[in-house]
Amino acid sequence: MSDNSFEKINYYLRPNKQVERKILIDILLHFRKYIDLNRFSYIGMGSIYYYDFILIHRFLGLKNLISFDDAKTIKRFKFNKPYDFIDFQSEFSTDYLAKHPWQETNTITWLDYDGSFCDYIDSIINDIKILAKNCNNHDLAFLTINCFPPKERAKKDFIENYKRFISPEYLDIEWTKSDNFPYLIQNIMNNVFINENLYAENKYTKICSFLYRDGAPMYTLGCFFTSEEPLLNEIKDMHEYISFDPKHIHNILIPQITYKEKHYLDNNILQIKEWVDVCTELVILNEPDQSLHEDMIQKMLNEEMDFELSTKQINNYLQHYRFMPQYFEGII
Amino acid sequence: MHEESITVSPTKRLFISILTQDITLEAGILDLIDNSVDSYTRKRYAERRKIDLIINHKEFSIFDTCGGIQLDILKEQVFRFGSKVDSLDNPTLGMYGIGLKRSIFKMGDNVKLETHDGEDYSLMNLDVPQWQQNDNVWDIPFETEKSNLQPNQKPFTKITISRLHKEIAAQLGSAVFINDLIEKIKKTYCLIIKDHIDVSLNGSLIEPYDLYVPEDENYKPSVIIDHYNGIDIRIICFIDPSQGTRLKHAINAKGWNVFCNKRLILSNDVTELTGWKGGSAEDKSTLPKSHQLFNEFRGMVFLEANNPFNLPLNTSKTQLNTENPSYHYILRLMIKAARPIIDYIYLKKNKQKQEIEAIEEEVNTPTDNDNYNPQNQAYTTFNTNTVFAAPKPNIIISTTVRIGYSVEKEIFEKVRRNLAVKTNKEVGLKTFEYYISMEL
Repeated sequence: MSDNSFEKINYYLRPNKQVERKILIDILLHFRKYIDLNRFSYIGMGSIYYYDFILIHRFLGLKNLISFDDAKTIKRFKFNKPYDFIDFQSEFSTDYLAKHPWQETNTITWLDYDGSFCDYIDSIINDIKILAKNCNNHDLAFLTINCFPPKERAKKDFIENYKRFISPEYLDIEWTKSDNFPYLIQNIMNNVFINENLYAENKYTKICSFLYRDGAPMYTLGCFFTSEEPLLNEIKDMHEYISFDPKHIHNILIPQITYKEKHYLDNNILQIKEWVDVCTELVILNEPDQSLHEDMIQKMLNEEMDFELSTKQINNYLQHYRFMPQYFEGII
Repeated sequence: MHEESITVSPTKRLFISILTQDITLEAGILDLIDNSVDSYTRKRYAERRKIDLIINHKEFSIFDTCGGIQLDILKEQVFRFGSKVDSLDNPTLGMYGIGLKRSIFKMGDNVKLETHDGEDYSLMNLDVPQWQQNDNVWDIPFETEKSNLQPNQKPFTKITISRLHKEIAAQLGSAVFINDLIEKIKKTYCLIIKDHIDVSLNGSLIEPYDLYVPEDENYKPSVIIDHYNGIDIRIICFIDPSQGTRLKHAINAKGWNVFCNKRLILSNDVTELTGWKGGSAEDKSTLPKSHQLFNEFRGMVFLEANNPFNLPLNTSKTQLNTENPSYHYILRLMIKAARPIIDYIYLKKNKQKQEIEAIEEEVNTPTDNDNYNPQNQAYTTFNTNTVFAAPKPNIIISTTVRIGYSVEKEIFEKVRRNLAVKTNKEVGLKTFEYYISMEL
C-alpha cells in the first residue's frame, strides 16, 4: 500500500519537507513563550527559493536574515530574494559561520545541506565545531542532511575513519544500513556537538530530530544552547515533537492522499483516533501473538473507514495533519 | 612578654588547588592506571592480571587485580602528600607520590577505596568537602579487617569516584573523550597490555597497538644499547616501508617514540625535543628540521630504570624533562643512531629535496604587498575592535600543466640529436609541439 507510483507523484513538491518546516516553525513559536525571538537573526542556506526565510519572517517576524551559498550564480541568488532586507553572502557555510558575529546577536541557524552526509561529513563536523563553541545563550540551530548510507565497499572505512565520534553501541557495521544510518548520523553529530561544547559557556542540548523522505532520506537535528537548567526543564515538555533523548528520531511520513480522502479524514479526526485506540486495545487484549497485531488492527480499521489506508499511514496523518501542505494549481 | 607562634601550615584548599590545576583529566586517569601497573611491577607477577575502568558522567572507577595495597603502605604512604621514595629496586613510574591524590581530587567529591592485598581488607570512604573543612586534621579514617579473600579471588584495589565535578562529568560523559582515551591507552600501555595486563573500558577489552621493527637481508636497523646513570638504554632506528599506509593516529607512524619503564611518553615526535632542530645536511650534531621527506624514518627509544627519578620525565609523564642530565646523554645517542638513516634519505631523495627546497625558497620569499607603506604604531593605540583589511591579492591561476615521464636513454639521444637541441626540457617541448602540429 505504499510503493505505488501515484504515491510518489508529489516528489517535486516535497510535502514531507514542508511538514518538517512547519513543525520547526511551530516549535519556534512555542519558544516565544520563554525567549524574545523577535530580536534574533536568522542565518541559513535559502537556496533560490528562500522557503525557510519566508516562513521565518512571516510567522516569527524576524528581520535580520542572512542567506549564504557558495554557488557561482550569485546574481540568481540575489534576484530571487523574496525580501530586499535579506542579506545574501556568497560563501561556503563554514566560512560564513566563522565570521558571523555570534556575540553581538542571538541567532537561529538552519543549515540545510545540499548533499549527502557521507560526502559532506568533514564540512558538517567543521560547522558543528563552530556552532558548539560560539552559540550564544538561547541560540537555536538546525542541521538537515541527506542520510543516504555509504556504498557497500565504503561502509567499513566509514566506521573506521569516524570511529572517534561514534559511541561504542553504534560501531557495528549494521548501523550503516539505510534504515539505521540516520541513527548513526545522529550519534556522530550529537557526539561532536557534546565534545566541542565541553568548555563553552552555553550548554548544548539536542531538542528534536526528524527523518523524512520525499525521495532521498533526510535527517534533521535541532539543538538549543543554554546553561539555564530551569529553562531546559520548561522546554522539555513544551512541544509534542521535542525530545532530549539522544537516540530518538521522529519519523515524518505523510500519506499521499486525494483531496476527497483528506476531506474525509479531516472531518473524522476524533472518530478515527478513537477507532485506532479501540482497535488497538481490542487486538492487544484478544490476540497473544504480537506479530499478528499490526495486520489485525489494519483489517479492523479498514472495515470502519470508507477507504483503505495502512495503520502507519493513518497514524502519520493523525500526527501531522496540522502541518500538511495543500497544493493547488494556480495561475500567476 | 610571652612566646606565640605563627601558623604556616597549609590549607587543604590550597593543596588541592595546586595539585589539580596542572594536570589534564586524561593525564590524571593515566596516573591511576600507572599506579596499578606499578603495583603489578612491584609484586613481580609473571602471570597476566587486569585493570577494568568504568567511566560515565556519574562515576569513575578503576579496579585492578595487581596485588592490592599493603596495610602499612595504605596507612603511611598512599594518601600522604609527597610520599616516601619507592624502594628503588623495580622499574616503576610513580615518582612524587601525588598521582593518586591529584587524580581523585580533580575528579570528584566522593572517593571510595577498597583494597585487598591477600593479608588485609581495607575500606576508605572520603567525603572531600567535609574533609576539607578542618585544616588541622589531615588524617583520613578507614576500616580494616583480616583477609577473607576467596581462593579464586586475586588481591585487588578498587577506587570509585562519584559526585563528579560538573566539568569532569561533562567530559566523562562525552563519547569522543572516551574514544580519545581508548586511543591513548592503546598507545601508552601497548607494551604493558601486550605482555602483562589486560585493560578494559566499560566492559570492552582494549587492543594494544602493535610495535615492530622491519628488517630483511638488505635493510638493517641502527641499534644502540647503552647504560647511563642507572638507565638501561635501547635505541632502534629504521626505515619503515609502510610509510603513508599507517593509520593517522597510530603509534610509531613517524619520528620518535620514547618509552620509559615500558610506558609511552612521546609518540611520533618530530620536534626539537627529539633533536629535529634544523641543522644542515653537513651538521651531524643534530637532526634536520622535520620534513615530509623523513616520513619513513622511525626511531624507538626504550629507557628502563629502577629509580624513576633518573628518567628524563616531567611529573605528568607527558614530556621529556630537558633539564635532567640523562636527557642530553640519551639525545646524543638518538642523533647518533638516526644520522645514518637521515643521510641515507638525503641521498635517496636528493632530487625531491632540491625540488622541495626550491618551492620552500619561493614560499619564503616575501611577496610585494601593494600600497603597503606602514608606519609602526604602539600597541596601546589600538583600543577598539577592528577587522583585518588588505587589498585583494593578485591570484595568478596557472593555465599550464607540467608533464614528467621517463624514456630509454638511447632513443632519447637519437631524438635529441635529430631535433638538434641540448636539454631534456627542449626535447619534451619539441616532441609535444610536433604532436600538436601533426595530430590536432
